[in-house]
Amino acid sequence: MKARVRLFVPSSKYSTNFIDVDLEAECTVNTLLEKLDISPVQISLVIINGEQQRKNTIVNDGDEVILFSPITGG
Amino acid sequence: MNNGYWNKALRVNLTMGTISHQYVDDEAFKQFIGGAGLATKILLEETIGKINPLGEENKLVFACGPFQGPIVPGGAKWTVAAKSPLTGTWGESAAGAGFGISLKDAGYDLLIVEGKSDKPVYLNIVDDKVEICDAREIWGMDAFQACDAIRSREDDEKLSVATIGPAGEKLVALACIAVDNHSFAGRCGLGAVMGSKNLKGVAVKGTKKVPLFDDELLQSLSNKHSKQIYQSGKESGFREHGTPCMCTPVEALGDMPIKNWTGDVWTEGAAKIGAPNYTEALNAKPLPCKYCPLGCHRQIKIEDPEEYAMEGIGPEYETLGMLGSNCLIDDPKAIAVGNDICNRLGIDTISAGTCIAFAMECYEKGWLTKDQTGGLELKWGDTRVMTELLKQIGNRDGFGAIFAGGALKAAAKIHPDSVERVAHCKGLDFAAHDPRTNFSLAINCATGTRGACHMRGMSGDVEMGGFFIPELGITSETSEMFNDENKALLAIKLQDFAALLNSLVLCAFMVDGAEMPFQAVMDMFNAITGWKFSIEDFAKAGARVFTAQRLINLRDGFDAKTDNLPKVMFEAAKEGFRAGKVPNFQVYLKDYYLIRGWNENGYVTQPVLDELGLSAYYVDPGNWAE
Repeated sequence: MKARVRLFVPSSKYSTNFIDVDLEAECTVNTLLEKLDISPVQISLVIINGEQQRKNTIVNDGDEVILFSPITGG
Repeated sequence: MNNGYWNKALRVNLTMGTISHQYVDDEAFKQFIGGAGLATKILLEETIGKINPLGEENKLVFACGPFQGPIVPGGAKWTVAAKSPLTGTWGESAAGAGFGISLKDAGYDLLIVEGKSDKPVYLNIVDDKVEICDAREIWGMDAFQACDAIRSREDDEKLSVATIGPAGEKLVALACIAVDNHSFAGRCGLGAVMGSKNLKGVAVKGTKKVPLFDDELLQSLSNKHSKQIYQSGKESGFREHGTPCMCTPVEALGDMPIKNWTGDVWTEGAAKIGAPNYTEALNAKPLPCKYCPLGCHRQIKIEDPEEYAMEGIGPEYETLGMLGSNCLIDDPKAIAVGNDICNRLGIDTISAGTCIAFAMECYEKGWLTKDQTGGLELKWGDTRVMTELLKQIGNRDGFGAIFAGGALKAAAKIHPDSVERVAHCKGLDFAAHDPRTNFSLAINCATGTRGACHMRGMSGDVEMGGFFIPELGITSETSEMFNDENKALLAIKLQDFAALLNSLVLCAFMVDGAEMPFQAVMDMFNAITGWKFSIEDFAKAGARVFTAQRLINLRDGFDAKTDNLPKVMFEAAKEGFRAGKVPNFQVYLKDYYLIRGWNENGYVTQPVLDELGLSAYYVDPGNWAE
């Protein structure tokens, strides 16, 4: 099982391009973050397949997951 | 005299050439806090409706709050206000650098400039010494040259100096006020108000320190939160990359303006102009305002290509959005040059970006031709066109002079159908955040007292999960993206909150971004003043300030008829994150009036005025509109 993941976390080592991440069964967004070595507190917005979700949402095979650090005006 | 305030306004009448001091009582500060709040009170009491914003009768108020006295994070912010020549509404803008702190250290809470000088002048304020100085040799200089010239003439590099460029002198309605060649009070055209008074600059320095109620407690709070803010900025990447780090995420969410708000997706372009590419391409470093642990502004250095070589202030996210994505320009160096042109000529990069993108759309649609533009081919993404048109707008020259009154007034001259292509509320152009991504912004902007503005109510950041105020009941449960729940309530709470921040005056990034709790803001306020404000008192002060600004607008006929959104904000995206989605605006508007306690015409009702202690300002609605 794999999810396509895009990260908007300026302080992380990842670019903002999509990456494929292997999933185990019942993998949540929190578990996914653990695999990517990103602290859940760094993530304020979770979008899965275009819908706003929570960090305890289960990620399924083929899901498109976009994760954001806090976004503020400028 | 109370702690945290001097209880003193400095009043300069440029017609009479007089300088006077005015006592401001404690009650005024308890009700209106300071900054934007006190400026609101001054304009409400000392001006009447229907005045000409560029006439002698308009008043320009430079205002500090309690946070400009002590060393506190985010305390470099200050406010300037007047009736806006761009919109005809309440006009207010905030800037950083060191001006507000210097004005406070000189012994003043406010500087009120009235009348009109018969020749160009600047003010030089050093503690009790206040002079109206001849600026004829400085008139015509750009905003940065004027700052340097005033410092040189006064032989004092430590002066904090607010200046205008040629745009302000020539009464261009998108003229801004530059501060210390670093920060800008960009919005609402207040640089043109300075120009209308023949006021080229205001220089200020002070050696006084306002008394504080509990200095020890304040220092302890300030140190604690400064450390936390610094750490937060470091961890989030905000300190390293500044606001340009917003480009790629907000583009992914459909929040970034693309092609005069008609585009849906611009992924590669956003990556080119945003961080980390921005930071590398422009050699960008943090340039903090005084006492700021976050440092969002950028100092940049471009060495090649030669035509773009420059060193100075880098564009913020808003400028990247308005001069970049909104014009389909994906070269950060070209945008940096455009930003520098705006800064020196003294025009707001947000409104200027609206003008350029709008002109490009008009050209594409055939509403503008090469014959009308003096040969300029206004094609999307053309960097030379962008920089040339910025020069023309700022100098009120050539085809660009058509934008002297702003994009909306230009549209009326260009083509009748073009008017609805201007993205604005009450004449103030949208900054680079799209209400079709964050629906609360739709109602926030439509009812905003200075027009469309995401910073006079940062409700969008709540919807995107980046900002909460649990003390005010604003949590992750309050309102999510794309549903209709609590949009009006969220907009109201954030409008009032922003009015409070701009009265304190406190930089919004300290709380929205760097996560300083609202409780801490209140604790610092109480430590400064010795007052015992509760969260409810604090929130009510914000509501009072916002409502008083509404009263100023109502006097000028801005009521329910102008609480609206431009057509483009009801056009759904065909692809991308917000595809098919538009705000359910009329539902939010109805809720908004109901929660505010306003009537169906958008008038503030008597019980609301009574509740907020604004009864003295009641005006018969029949006298508001013509």
